[in-house]
Amino acid sequence: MGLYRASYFDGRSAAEWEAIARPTGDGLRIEARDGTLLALWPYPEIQAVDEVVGTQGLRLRQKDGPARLTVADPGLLDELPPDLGAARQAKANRRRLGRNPYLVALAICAAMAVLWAGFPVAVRVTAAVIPVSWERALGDWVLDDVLEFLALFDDGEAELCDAEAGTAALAALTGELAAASDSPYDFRVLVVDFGMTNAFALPGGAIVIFDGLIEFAETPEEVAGVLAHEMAHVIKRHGTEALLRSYGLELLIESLTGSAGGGVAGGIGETLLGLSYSRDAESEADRTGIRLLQGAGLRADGLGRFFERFDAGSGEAPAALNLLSTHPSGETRARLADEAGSGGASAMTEADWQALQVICGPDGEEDPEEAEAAEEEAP
Amino acid sequence: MSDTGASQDVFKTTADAGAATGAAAGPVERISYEGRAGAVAGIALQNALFNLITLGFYRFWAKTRLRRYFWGNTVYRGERVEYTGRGIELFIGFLIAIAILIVLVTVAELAVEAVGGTLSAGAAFIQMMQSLIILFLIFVAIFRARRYRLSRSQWRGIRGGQSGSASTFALMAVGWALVSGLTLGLAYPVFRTRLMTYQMDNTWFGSESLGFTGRAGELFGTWFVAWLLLIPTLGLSYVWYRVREFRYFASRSSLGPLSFSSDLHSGRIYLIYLTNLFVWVAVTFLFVAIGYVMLTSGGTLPTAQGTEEQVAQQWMALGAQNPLLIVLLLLYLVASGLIRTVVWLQPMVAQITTSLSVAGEMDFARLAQSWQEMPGRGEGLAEALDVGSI
Repeated sequence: MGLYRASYFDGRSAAEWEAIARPTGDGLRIEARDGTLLALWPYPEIQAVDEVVGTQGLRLRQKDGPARLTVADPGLLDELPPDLGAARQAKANRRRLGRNPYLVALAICAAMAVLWAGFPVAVRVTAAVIPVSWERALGDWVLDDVLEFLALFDDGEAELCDAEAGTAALAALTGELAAASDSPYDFRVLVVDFGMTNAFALPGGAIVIFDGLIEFAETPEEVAGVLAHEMAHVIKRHGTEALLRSYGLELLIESLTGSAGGGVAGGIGETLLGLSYSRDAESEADRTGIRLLQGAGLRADGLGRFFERFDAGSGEAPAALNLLSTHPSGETRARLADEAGSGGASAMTEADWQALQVICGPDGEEDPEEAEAAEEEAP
Repeated sequence: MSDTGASQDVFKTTADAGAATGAAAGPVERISYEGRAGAVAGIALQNALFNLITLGFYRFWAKTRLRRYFWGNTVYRGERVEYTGRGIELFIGFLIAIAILIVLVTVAELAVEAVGGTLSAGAAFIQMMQSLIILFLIFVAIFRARRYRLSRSQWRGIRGGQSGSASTFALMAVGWALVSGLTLGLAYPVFRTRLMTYQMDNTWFGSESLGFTGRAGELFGTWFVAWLLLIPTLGLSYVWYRVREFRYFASRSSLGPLSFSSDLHSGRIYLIYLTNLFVWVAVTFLFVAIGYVMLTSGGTLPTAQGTEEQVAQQWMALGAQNPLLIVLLLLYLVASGLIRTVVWLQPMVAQITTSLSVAGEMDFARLAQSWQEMPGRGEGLAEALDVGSI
């Protein structure tokens, strides 16, 4: 048991006591030069002041008390009982000091590796366990934003098309496909008077089809194919996954930059529209969509045909609304159409098809301003 | 007195204060800083790791650890300063502040509804009142944060403190901020000096109160030059002003028989800015290059045309699907945090603390422990309003 030169501050005044620190059986004795006892600190109550004990010496305090002891020689730590409280922690810190940054850098790399492998899995698992009612609430919430966002492009309101016969025809088709899907979703299909060739699905079952897509379709089977494809996105929860991925990423970024939750709620519609499904998700939606069509006893080659034509006129690739932008190549889709064959019933009667084509109004043609806008968006 | 006369006066005060008062009142002791880049990098890395794992909730503890290190490496008369704050105190303070802000915003929104929607004249008035209240709260937050930090700062076991009322301070600050705004910023030194006077008059070290004799008039010449140059120098002259202001304020501060001075140099502060910018740009460029290679080697590029924003969105969407890119982005954020701590924060702390000298002799046995109660929680409002600094 050694003696250590120390400075003692009693916590009552700023005066410095030149002192001797002496580890004893009862605890750490702190004595003035003349031997008077200044303090006796029981070992379990001794805490190290600093996290890192470097070359500047060791600072100790009695648990939560105001008095301080500064010892130049950190060797004192080795004489304190090894299993006691914060003194041990200070000791560990001192030992760890040399390799600390490397250890931590390694741990960060490990965390990143876990993230790399785990993030997609976590997103998929979370999306799978979210109740359908939550998805629907999420989708409804997003739908308002989406329609508002579309209105920005359309100089006003994004008008919903609801001509009676067309709506009924679409509802009948949706009903047939939904019956074949055997899924818990309550599908609602909205047609928006918007010139762009596009359609997308929201979490929970809302599907938005642009009038431009109906114009572009040559047969009702193509519309049915796109509808089935979008319903498959809903059933396979691809939209929910995309949202989770986006917000998970945002959360991770915020955790590192330290900004607290700012703007999480804002612009959710834009975020969704900015998301695109992965190639795998698109292929899965194609396969599932074809199963739906076949399950409903309908011709299943329309889906492949539509996307094949859509790709061939690649000028049609939608820019602002790119939910369809990473779909498999046209050839893959053509093969899909061939495999699906031309067996099965027509998607709707000729009368229904004509009704659907004028769902946005009796003229059947989009107005010229809109066509112009569409061209600007997708040159 | 002419403007140049005033700024020369500032020069003289700062250049000669240390030597002059030192000769008159006893030895001059410089404050030193012993922190090392490696150690602070280690703490910053650990903080980043825990922030990531806890989705950001660790940041109160992270801040506490950094402060403990910065304080603990600031040395006066051979004895290090100590920070005794705890992360949990910051966390609880933050929760309470968020609750207050939520109530405030909710009340304001209900009031807007009550007067007839966001477009009515009443709503404009309410929104203006809300901005004023937020401004008021920002100053309350600044004052309370300073009180918390002082009460958690110790030297030789004696802690600091701050008396006075946060709302008095905030009212005064809002008033002078408005005056400063109405004079196009010309009255800014008055705003700064009034605030400093109130803060310093209420600052304690143990049983001893600090003294402050700064006068706005003596800063006006410096400020006028900086003010004229604000636009041509893109605001850089503000830094020059703040450095001179710091030296002036230090030279006008005292603790009993001890007097302070600072030889902080704006050139060194600009150098820190420049180094920080250079390192940050270099690292950003590196990460962007790696990310670009990773993206383009994947083979799927956004093909669609559109506005810049749309294309950027597509790149982001593409990136969000690539877990390796997410990892790269997070690594970049870790690197940015590391740069901020090692190349920015610590050098600033080091420059500012080591610029300070204390002249004079004091009987420390008569400097007793602070009798002020310590505030139980800290800085929540400052954190919530994002005015909390290190």
